[in-house]
Amino acid sequence: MKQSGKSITILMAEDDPDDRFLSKEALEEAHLANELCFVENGEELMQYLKRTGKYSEPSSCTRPGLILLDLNMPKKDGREALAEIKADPELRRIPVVVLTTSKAEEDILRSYDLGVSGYITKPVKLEELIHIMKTMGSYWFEIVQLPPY
Amino acid sequence: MSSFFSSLRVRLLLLVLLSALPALGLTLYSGIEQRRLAANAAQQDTLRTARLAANSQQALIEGAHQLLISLSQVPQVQSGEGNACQSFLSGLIKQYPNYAVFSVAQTDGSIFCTSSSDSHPVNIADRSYFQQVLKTSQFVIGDYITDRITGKAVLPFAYPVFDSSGSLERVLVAALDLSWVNQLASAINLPPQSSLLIVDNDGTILARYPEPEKYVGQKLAESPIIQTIVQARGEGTAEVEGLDGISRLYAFTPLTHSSSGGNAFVAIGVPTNIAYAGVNQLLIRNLSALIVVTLLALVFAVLISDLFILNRVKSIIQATGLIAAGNLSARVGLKNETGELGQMARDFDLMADKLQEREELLRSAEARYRSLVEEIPAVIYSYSIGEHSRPLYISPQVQEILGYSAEEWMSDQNLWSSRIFAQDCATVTSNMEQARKNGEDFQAEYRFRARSERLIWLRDEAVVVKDPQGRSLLLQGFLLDITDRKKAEAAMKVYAARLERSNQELQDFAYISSHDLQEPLRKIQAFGERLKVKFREQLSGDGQDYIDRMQNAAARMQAMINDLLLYSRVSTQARSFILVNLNDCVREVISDLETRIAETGGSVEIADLPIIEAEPVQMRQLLQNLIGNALKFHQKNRPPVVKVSSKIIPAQDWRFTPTAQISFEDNGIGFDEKYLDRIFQPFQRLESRSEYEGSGIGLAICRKIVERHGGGITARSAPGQGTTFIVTLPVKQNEKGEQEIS
Repeated sequence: MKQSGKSITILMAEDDPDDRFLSKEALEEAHLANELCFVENGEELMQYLKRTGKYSEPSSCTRPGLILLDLNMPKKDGREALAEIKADPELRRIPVVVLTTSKAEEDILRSYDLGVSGYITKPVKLEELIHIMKTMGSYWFEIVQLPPY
Repeated sequence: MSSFFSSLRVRLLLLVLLSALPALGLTLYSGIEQRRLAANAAQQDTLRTARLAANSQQALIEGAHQLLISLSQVPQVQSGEGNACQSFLSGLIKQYPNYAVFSVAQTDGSIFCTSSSDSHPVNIADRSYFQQVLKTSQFVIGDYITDRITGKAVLPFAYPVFDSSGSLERVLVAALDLSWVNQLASAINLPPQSSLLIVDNDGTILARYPEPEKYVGQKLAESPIIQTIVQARGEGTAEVEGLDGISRLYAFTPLTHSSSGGNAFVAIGVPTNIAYAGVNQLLIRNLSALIVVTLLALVFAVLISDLFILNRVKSIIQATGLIAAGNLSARVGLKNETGELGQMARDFDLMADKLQEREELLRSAEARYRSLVEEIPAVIYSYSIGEHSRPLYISPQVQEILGYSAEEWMSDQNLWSSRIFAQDCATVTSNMEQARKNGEDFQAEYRFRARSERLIWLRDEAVVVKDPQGRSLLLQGFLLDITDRKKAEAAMKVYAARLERSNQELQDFAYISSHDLQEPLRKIQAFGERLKVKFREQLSGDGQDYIDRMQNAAARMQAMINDLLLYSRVSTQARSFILVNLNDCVREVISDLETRIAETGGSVEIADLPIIEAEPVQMRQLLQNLIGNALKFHQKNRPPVVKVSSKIIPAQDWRFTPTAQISFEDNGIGFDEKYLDRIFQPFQRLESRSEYEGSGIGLAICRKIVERHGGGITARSAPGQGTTFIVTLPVKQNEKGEQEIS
């Protein structure tokens, strides 16, 4: 049974507030109705996913169907969080797409090694980001089968 | 003895002597011949004298015969009157002093009457002459006997006396006194000290003159003269000792046979010295003359040989001796001498000249090498190669460099090994051992405790010197003080480490900072975009314009940050040098620039490019920038034509590598060469941003790349006349991969 793409929550781990704002704008411009949740760093991300800390209230967070992960974050960075997620049997099914400024080959390789489903370098122009959102939406929510949870 | 004969003078004298020898011999021989002839003559003379004596004797005998014949007729003898006979005979004997006795004997042998007054009765019947007379009734000459009546040596004659009937009645005897030899001797004129001798063949002396009383009547058969006479049995001469011991030349001849067959000899003896006096004198005269002449000849020989030969030879010997002793300036100096000795002297001087010359050359060469060895700032040494290697030579610099004098070093064979720094000692000594054993070269760098206890770093290199058969002879090498170099190396290492660290820090910093710097720029651009899109209606034309300019500025900054990153990466991300075929490289670049070539309608012509040792990524960057620039900065209505060519310049300076010179010639806008320095600086642009895009980092990156490879870049141009960029790169890089030139 195919779930409705529109009900899937996208969880975005991004430390930069401007980037968060722009991403939200891009999502709107892409006419995606998905709920977009933000966490600001790796710690919050893990708390959200595990429903610990300030996310212990069950209603405050829904299990995301897709995680957009920035690699460079304070406290715990995306790389660490990624490793943790993919090590956790409960969480590792959730597709993770890295969305980061880094173009470093090393980061790309390591991310794929850890099991990410995609790696996107943040575009310079907003148009491009909107385009990415549109494409991502159509790919992940219309074409691809997400794991049921 | 042999050395005496090897002297030149003695040899010359011997030569003269030998040449005189035949003459000497000849003279001696003729002298001896003469003497022999003279001796012969003397002998003949004496023989004649002897014969004369014999003849005289013969005459005497005849006389006796006649006397007896007469006497036998005398009536005193005929009558048988004894007294008358006696007085007659004794009176007669006085008339004939030569006769010892006259006697008349009866047929029975008893003496009837005698001239001698001695009256003892004597019988001569046993006498052979008496018996002979009785037998033959003729005149008989008897043997030489000693008369019984007188006791003298006599020669008896006997004659028969017949009576009237003709029968033998009595015998007349007359005895000739043999002292008549005196008479004889004076008659024949004997020379002084000569002797006259009559002897019978029994060896009895019958008569002798002089000193008859000494010898007459004695039988001296052993005397040499008597032996000679008896053995000869005839005439002869002999040089023999006489009865008195004096050597004489004797000539002897037999006296006439007596009737009984006995024989007697008369011998005349002349002392040899008197006989041969004249001859000997002659011989002596001749020999003396000869000796004198020979001596004279020898003296002349000595003088002349000295004058012409020995003196010259002495000069040469002297000069030779001086040169042998070391005085090379000695010369013989007989310039005008001719002949073999002169030639020898001249050749000798020539040889001495050459010797002196060579000695000089040798000495100056030796001095040069010595000064070379002793003045170069290293210690030169040679050691023996055996089990216990000891120093054979150490140059004087050892004092200055290590603080030990050459004498100290030479006297202590363990000095070197004992002063090597403890930590280095084992390795160095074992290396040295190996080199020594295998005859290999030795090299080491180690610390050494100088006398002052200062630690010196030494570079020690030695080779094993071998003979043509490959046997090791000795170890020869040098010590170089490399303390300064070691210090510099250590400093270099520290510096290099620091550089490495700083590079790494820079790289990290560049990466991080470019990343972090880019962030805000992206925001500016993004929100600028949002403004333009979302609030399009609200923004006026100016507003839009402001936002555009703002975005452009941000974009430029991004580009600059990226370029800076690229620029810093030239050194921080430099990889090692490998062989790069620039032809392949340039083809890749051209294919990357395809779009731009097509857009501009331009063309790129490439000549054959070399293969060099370089960093491939950076070569790509270099070529891309230069060819890209050439395409970019084209003249307005002229399609760009880029010509890339190269040539190889052979190795020149200390890097010992040839250089590849690559030229990029374009027909673009060109520039004034007074700006040559500026164009290679980061972010320096000559043209405005509106005309030609680009951040101005390209040429700066090119220069950095080229300099990292140890090469250079420059350009030649003129406004409106195109530009030629000339890049020089070493074909070979050194091992460490560092090619920073100052």
